[in-house]
Amino acid sequence: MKNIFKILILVLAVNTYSYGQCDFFSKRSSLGRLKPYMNIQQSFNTVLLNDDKTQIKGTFYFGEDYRLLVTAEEQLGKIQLNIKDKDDKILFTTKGYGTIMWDFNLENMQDLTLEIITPPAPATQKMDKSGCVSVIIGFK
Amino acid sequence: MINNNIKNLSGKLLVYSLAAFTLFSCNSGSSDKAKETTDSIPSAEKKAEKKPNLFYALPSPIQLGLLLQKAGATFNKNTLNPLSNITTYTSPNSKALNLGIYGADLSYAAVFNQSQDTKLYLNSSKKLADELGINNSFSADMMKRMDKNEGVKDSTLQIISEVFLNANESLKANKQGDISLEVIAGGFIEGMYIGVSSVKTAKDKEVIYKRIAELKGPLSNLVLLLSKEENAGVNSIIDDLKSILAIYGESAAASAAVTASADTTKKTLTIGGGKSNNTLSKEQIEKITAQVTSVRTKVIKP
Repeated sequence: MKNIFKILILVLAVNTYSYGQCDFFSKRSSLGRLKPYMNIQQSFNTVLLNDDKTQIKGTFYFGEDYRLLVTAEEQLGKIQLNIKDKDDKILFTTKGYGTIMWDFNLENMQDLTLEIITPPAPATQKMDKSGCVSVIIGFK
Repeated sequence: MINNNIKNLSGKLLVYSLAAFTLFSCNSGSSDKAKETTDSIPSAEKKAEKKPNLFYALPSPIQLGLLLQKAGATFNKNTLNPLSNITTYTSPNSKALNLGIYGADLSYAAVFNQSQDTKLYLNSSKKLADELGINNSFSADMMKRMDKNEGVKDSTLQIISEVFLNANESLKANKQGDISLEVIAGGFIEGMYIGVSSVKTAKDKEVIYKRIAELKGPLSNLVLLLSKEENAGVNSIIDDLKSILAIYGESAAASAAVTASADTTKKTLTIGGGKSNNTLSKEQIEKITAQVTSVRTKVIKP
């Protein structure tokens, strides 16, 4: 009982840390690297576990150049970025540790989904790890 | 044996409690109110069944302004929400929606290099932000940077983007995700209003029609985002936005296959194909204009 109480205290303490950490994670980790692109005034920050994913749906326009910055805490391992069309078909996929940055443009307006996937925990790791993941979209 | 079971249970409790707390506290796309009703300790089975975090990206008012400018639109001061209306915004909801409206007017003025209006609408945006408790976004340093870069369009637009991103993140950090969403909604509504108002003065109306047609996706995403919220500000506009979407629904948009070609050295990507005949009839444009004007009037004159 005493142990469970200690764990709950720890959960609350770590959560307070994670809460602030993730809301400003994008600003600390990505914003400077976005220039000369302008951010779209929204950031997408979340916490993922191992073997987890997040998606961002949006409309992207012909005539604009875009920069996509995905930043993840390294304990999550090698993250994967998928860009999907409106029918959920994967158009592009890439993997990386920590940060993935790609620039893209379009020949026509498209509704796209950006999907970030974290890898499963390795066999040597008994519990899933969690970490902040941030996606920032820039345009010019 | 019992100790081991307790340890395993404690470990799982720790991991899933952490995941639940952090997941729901950081997801900008979900409602604070929805969070309160969600089980905060998901089981392993729930993790397996859990739907992915889903966010919706909307074009910023600066993006909409630049797209209109490229389409040949011109600046029309009469389109802006009069500054004198600011004294009528007394509730947090009307302040948030109109911070979005004034922010879009600020962006529109800056895109078209209207220095005086940029300054005036910056000050009005700051006033509403201060009243909403997000004065750190419109800091003294930022105001100085704006002064220093007066007339330098690229720098001014960069600063405005940073200010509104900071405001958005500050609101979410203060568990005011619904207010943040209202700011974004206000900005998008004003962006649409500026778009439909541009039709009257544009030389090539067809290009503007096409830009308005291309707002169907973001409008649909905004409706999905707002549908997760339950507050007075959102409730007052969501049905109006749905009715605009219904007018778009009458348009057919066939599209071809989408492809992507990547340059792995430069890390650049071109997404091709997928050309769609996203067009609206004159009648649809008129209906959308009337409906956008109506919802915008409701927001700026609460």
